[in-house]
Amino acid sequence: MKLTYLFTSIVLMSFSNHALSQQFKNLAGKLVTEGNEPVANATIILKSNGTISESDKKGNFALAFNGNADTLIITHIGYASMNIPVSSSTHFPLSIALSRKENIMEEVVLNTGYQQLPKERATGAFTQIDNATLNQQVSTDIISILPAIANGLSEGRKTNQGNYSTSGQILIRGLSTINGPASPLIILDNFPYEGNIENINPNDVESITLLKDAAAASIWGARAGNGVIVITTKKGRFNQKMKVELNTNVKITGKPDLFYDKSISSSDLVNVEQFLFDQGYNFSDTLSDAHTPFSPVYEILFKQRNGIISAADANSQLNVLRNHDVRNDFDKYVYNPGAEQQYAINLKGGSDNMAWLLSGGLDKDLDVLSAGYNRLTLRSENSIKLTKRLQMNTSLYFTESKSTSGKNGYGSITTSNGGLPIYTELVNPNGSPATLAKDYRQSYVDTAGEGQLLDWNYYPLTDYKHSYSITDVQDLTGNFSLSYLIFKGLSANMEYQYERQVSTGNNINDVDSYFARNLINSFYQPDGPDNFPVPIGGILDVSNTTVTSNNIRGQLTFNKSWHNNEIDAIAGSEIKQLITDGSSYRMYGYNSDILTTTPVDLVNTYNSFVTGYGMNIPDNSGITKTNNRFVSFFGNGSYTYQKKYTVSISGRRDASNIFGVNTNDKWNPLWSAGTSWLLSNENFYHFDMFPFLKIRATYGVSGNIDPSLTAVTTLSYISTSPYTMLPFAQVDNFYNPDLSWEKNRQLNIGVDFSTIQNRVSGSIDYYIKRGVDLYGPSPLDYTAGLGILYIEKNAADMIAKGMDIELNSLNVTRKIRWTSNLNLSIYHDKVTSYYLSDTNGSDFIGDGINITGIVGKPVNSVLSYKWAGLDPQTGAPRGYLDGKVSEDYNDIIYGGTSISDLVYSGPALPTVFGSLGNTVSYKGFSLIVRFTFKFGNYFEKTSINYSTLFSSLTGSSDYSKRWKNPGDEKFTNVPSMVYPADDARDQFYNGSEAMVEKGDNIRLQYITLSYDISKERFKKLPFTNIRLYCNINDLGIIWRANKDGLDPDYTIGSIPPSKNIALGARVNF
Amino acid sequence: MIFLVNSGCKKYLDQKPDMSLVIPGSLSDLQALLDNYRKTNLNDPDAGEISSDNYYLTTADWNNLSSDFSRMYTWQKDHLFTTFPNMWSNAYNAIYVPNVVLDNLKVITETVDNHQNWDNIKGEALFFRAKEFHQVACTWALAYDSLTSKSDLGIPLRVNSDFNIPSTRGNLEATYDTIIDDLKQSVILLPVTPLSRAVAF
Repeated sequence: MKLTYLFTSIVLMSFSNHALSQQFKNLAGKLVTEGNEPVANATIILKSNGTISESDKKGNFALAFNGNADTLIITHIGYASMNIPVSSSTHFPLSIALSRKENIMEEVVLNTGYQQLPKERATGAFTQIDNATLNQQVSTDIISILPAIANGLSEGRKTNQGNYSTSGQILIRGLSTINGPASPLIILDNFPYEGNIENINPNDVESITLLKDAAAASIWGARAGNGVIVITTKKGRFNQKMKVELNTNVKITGKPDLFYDKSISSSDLVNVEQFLFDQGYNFSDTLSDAHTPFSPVYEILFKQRNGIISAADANSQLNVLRNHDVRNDFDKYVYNPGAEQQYAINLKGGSDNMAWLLSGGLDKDLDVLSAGYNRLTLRSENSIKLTKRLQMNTSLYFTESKSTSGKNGYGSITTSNGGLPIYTELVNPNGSPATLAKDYRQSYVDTAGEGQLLDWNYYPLTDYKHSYSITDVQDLTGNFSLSYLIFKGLSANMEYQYERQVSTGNNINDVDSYFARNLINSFYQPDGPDNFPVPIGGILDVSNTTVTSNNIRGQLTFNKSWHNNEIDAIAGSEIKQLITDGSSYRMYGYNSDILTTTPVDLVNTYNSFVTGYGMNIPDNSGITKTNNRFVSFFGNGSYTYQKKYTVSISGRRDASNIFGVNTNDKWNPLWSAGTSWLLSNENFYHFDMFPFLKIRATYGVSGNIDPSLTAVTTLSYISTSPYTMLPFAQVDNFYNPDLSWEKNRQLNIGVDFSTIQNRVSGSIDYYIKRGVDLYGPSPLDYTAGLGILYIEKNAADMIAKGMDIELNSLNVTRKIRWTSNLNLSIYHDKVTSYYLSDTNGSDFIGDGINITGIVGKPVNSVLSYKWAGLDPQTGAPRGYLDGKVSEDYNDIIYGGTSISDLVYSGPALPTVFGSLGNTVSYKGFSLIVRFTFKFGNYFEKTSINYSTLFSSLTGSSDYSKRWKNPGDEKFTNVPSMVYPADDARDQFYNGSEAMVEKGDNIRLQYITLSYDISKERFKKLPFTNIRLYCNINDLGIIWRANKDGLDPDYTIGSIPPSKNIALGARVNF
Repeated sequence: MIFLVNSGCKKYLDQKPDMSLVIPGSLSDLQALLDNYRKTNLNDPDAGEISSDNYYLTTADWNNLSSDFSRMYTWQKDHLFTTFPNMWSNAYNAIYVPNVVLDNLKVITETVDNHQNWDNIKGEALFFRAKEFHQVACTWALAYDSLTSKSDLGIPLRVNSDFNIPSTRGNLEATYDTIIDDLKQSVILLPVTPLSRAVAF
């Protein structure tokens, strides 16, 4: 090609210079990217006579031209083709900006953390998320934006591992483990990131690669079983002009919809309490040593009964409460819109032998409860070619963040009886903060101690000012590597990474906090000698955690291509040490102004002022240290023939001080093998619909470890023997030489394709995962002598099957451009072997949050009691016992129902999930709308529980739908109220089939509107490009299967995130 | 690099993963395990005594017994150890302790300085194991008869703390051979006056 070009230009030039100099002139120009980078190797054709040229390294090209109106056709493998009209009046040289083609698979370079792999030669299942897609959402952290855009990745809020954390549990291809940790391994550039993932600024991230199948992930060995997320940061490049990028945005989050919580109404609650009062419920508490508080309604009724107020006064006071809802108070006095500000700058550039990058970021977040999060990130990265063969890379990433606690939100305030009654008033009629009888009766609080005590009232609205926490996190990650080119194709690389994260948490309860006042008062000794053994002052709890990790890696990389052969191979070894140090302590008498504390007597007991019982002043000190070490060897190679056939193989061996010796001693590597075939390059391939078609197949094994399990015998000293006066010990952990990692065997078959001009492109992957040797309880032989019945061993198995489909389409490519992206995943898992220590049905009832572990059923299954409707006479819930309709709740719950008697509804994890994004762009405008969906999962809603309602005065709004009269059973499932409450009856109803709902839902996840102004269009612009954008996120559910308006991801006591709007600008110089 | 890693690997991985755990590494740790009288001395099975005719119960007293004990008293065949832990598991729990001690003793080198202690611990462990084997054999195996001992079933002999190894039941000959062997070894190792006072009790 080069030669032809040279030849052609020489011929043409001689033409133009001599024989035909009058008609011909030189058509010269330069091809650049939208970012003004030169584009080499583009083909330029003059339409009329087919003259061909090619652009050189600097993007320049030249053609002979006779001046007649003509068209230049410019084509390039990575850029959209362009037709440029030319005529004699055209000004030369031309400057032509090419726009990058979308969805070019060949262009993608995958980063596995060990090597850069061109996607065309990859056999495994990878998902690459580029910078443009990452930028569609505005977020303080990088992980939370993935569920909406990453193929095969889901956010499970309801797995045993995830609890109900706001961030959820990220899963790649669902579960690979039953009891072990389920989180994917997160790699920052080349090493696992051990600090908080919130430390990473999304503005520093260039792209993200998901390693989904064994061939992709098994290079990470014993920690890769849950899949791997590789975060690649932005880098400077050699021979690049200095570039500056500025990004700033403000995000406003709306107040949460507190009325999403279906609470019993104030009026209903007052009625219930009046009923309870008439029954004399809890009257015995009036004599309680602990001075247990009563609710405001009870206090009014007591006053009425004791003749302090009249019935009319009592009624009017109760009516005030009936018409009051605490959620309005929270909305008015506690919550406010959240605001997040983000500023980021990024400078990069490079000369012939040096490439560099500097970036800085500042985030200032204030959430709806005024809890703060401030983060500063600084990053520097340098690559220096020391000699022609030796290159040095250094990088430093520093993060400092400060989190401060906010106000007490709805649901976080409790009393010693349980929850906060819905009619509670946070503010007095005169506007001052109201008090709440939290631990003691108001009458006691008002009179106790005859004036010697500190104010004992609890003020729910303002206590946060005196009781708060501040957490500081500092993380420094430093990386140093040398790579030496031994000969062309072979290089040796030595890399060292040090990471240290120091977190300091200060929990402060100053002298005005309820916590401190309550503790000080409780320890009041009226008769001295010291009246206040807990000194009058604040209480400071300090906790420190330091995570230190050291990694050293040595690696050989070999890349060579000759004739039709291409080889990419790596081999190496690494050592890793991860130390976690923790300590915590408490200081009394803390004064933050002059930084003084007072020592207390932690040894002797004091009689409680409230109850008179002896108690110790609480200590809060502890110290922990763990040290995990790994030694690993790894190798990975792929061979491609004729750019069509690729085989790949990878192997890794891990040894660690947390495995048993048998595991470490055995040569038992984790491995994978794969192959791919570029079918469309075959001569016999004539399927014109798909000009690109590639088939892949891989199989391999990766592992998963739980650092909390120990394989060595450990003992602890119990006490001193009364006979010998010598300390004696017992065994705590048992020598388990066979303890090993969990194994995840995965088969993946995939196909990559694209239709003509990439109108539709994408991939389809089918996988089968078999989790074997998973951690699970295993029954023990009595004669093993451990004194326990079962032990955690590599004893359970599961299987998961699924499909990941990714489709990208160019729907309209005219002036208006419309593209779509669909991520669709299908997932089913099943336990194949598990030891159940009991088969009592009631232990398996639930929301699928707990592992059910029933062989043949999903890991997280939703199971319930069989439901026989309400009793038409009494409104009592009815179940089944021994196949017959029964109201014997105790028998149904305790022993009468085995697993096989339960109703299995389905899995708690969605079986179909994904996202659909549509982008419409016109000139500089671009609009992106993305939906996410989940289908096939089940959840259990909560309903009225009369036992809890009576004892803690909180309950569901289903109370109003309860059975009252015969006939009601036709349109309600809510049982009648009985007194006294029957706990077993409530448990049965809340665990019954009537509570199970389908979780299917579709969400409008985000809408992003952006407008680009580039120098190409507005020459006078002082910068290359500016993008103004608006991102509206968490727009909520637009369709759901359940009729109760519930968000299946937020059921028990949690409220869905509210809508947020971010406005920002990104400027490039 | 690879060679370097390989040679240093063993030692590097011997680091305990959680510092609050004590891996029994010193002789005093092992002695402390043996001194745990609750395990070594108070775990002997009493099913034999319950079933014996050394005493008698009135029907009323017998009715007050737990079902396990009342069944033992009347020599029932099954449902004797329905709860956990029970005599059978406790007896083997008592055998586990000397096994842990003996396994960990293997990695402590005997030197001129610690020789007296080392021998004593090994002797004590062997004695405790033999004693508990004997207790189990007396309770749950047939009485020794030299004519049939090769065909009579013995007790499961656990001589190792690895619970992954399945238990097997040999003949009665093997049971008593092990007991006698353990005791013979311990006699040579134990001093004339006990070093650890726990053993004396």
